[in-house]
Amino acid sequence: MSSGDSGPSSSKQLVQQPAAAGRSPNQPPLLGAGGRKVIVLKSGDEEEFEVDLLDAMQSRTLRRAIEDGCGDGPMPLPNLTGPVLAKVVELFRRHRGDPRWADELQETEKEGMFKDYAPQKPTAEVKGFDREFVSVDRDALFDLLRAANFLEAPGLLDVTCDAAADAVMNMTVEEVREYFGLVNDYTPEEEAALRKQHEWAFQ
Amino acid sequence: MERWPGLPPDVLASIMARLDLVDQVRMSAVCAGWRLVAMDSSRRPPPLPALWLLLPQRCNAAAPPLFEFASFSEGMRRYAIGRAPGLRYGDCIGSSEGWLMVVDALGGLHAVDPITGVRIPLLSDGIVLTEGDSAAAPVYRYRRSIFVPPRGSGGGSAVAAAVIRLRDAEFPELTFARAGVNAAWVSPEVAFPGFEDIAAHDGKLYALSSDSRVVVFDLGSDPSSSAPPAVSVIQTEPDRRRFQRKHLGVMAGNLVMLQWRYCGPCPFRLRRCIPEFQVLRLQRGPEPKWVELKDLGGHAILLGTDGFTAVHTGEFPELRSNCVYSLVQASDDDGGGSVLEVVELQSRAVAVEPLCETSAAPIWFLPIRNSFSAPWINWQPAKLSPMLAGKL
Repeated sequence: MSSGDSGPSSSKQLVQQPAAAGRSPNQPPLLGAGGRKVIVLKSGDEEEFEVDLLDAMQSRTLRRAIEDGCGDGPMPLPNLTGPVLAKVVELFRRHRGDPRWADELQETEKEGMFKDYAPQKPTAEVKGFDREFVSVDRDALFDLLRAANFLEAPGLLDVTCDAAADAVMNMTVEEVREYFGLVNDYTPEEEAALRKQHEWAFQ
Repeated sequence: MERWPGLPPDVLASIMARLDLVDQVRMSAVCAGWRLVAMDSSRRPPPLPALWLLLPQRCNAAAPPLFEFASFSEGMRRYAIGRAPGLRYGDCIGSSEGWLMVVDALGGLHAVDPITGVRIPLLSDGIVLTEGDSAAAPVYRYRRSIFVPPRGSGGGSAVAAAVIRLRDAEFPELTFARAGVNAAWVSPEVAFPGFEDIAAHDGKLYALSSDSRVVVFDLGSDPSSSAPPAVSVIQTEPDRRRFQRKHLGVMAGNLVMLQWRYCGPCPFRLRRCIPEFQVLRLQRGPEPKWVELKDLGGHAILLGTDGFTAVHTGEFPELRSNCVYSLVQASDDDGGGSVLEVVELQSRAVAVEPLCETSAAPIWFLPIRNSFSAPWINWQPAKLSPMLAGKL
């Protein structure tokens, strides 16, 4: 699997998905090839990605934009690069029906949009995909974390935060500083006092 | 250099929420910015000793898998502690000696220390029945799981683990294993109708049979000893009064039985009954017998779904002595949720306090700093062996 920061430079990726049934007829028609309702996302480096409208709803940010009627043309996402957006779109597709955003679903369901879009438990296949998804280097993981935060996508945030927590779990304080590129802004006295105060955690 | 290279504090908080408490506290030493996140109101280290309630896991699948505690000692302050991978959706059945006992999705039993994140796999032969599964393997439901502290120990280590479980929803069966790399689970075969509860103290495991007899297994102080434990049975006069449940525990070095039954209606909720509690101490001697206690000598009893713990109110000034604190599920008639009922033993005065709105009752948890020795960590659960068959 290609990592997020060195992905292919294809100009367009089509997400092949059969249409989900049960849409409300009063939604604006955003028909893509094959009659699917799709929207187009445009990365900061001008790559365009088609994504099923239902999958895009996994992001609160995108959902708000769509509900505000911004889904007609390509939706610019200037702070996401093409390779990152490609990964995110793929995750949205694989997480279709994932209970991790079931809350979001219920809200939208009130509007009668997604009647047949019942949440399913994550399958072994999805879990395997998630593992593979975060098998990337540190910088790519940070890109994905920032994307999850910007897009407000619970499933994406869950997967990436798990990976970051796993990475941090067995590190020393010094290793964490290096991993996150942080500067120790404590004076030696302050740090010693802090360690002494919580001695039990540093043994 | 940037304070954190573009990682927003919200994301950082989400990562922190997945760590155990020790890691959360350690991360506060990274830099001042992290300290603000690590030490926000929900992540300060607890003053010990503390009394916590493990709140039932929220059904919201979007929430990260957490152990969520409310600290009874600190005005119900919340602690959110990450769950170990592999146990993200396990059910907690109770706690013992600072460990949570968690059953994973496959029916395996684990001891988890939420403070350090250490996990000890205990039993792994349970099978969760799924649709279409043949009934070849037994199905276990766990009732109680405890650690047995060694002789003369103040806690923090154990010589054995013991479990009461219901095999195929039938008689409760007792099984225990002594610590060690080749620990084997032993199920004593007994002529009793089954075991109600277990308790441990000073290297001994006590098992209460349904007819109020107590079986004592002396597991000593040396976990590596291979000699079979000395077994004795304390016969007492059978108690003919009807009680719903009996629990066994240790209070100030004495073996104590707590039994309860429902009596009059609750003064606060018309459709609800308040249980009547009876606390009995085992009087040893040539003719051992259970003697009812009206005064707990400064102790309070914490009753949960799995059993009870007696604590001294000198150590926990937030508790009132001579009281039984029980965590119960309120009926739907009462609006559901779970409540804390406090019953004064002598006067039978009752106080009720709502706890949370979930459908399962919380679990008492007394965090301690554990330092179990390495054999526990490397413990490979072995198959059951009825080693003590015919001993009783």
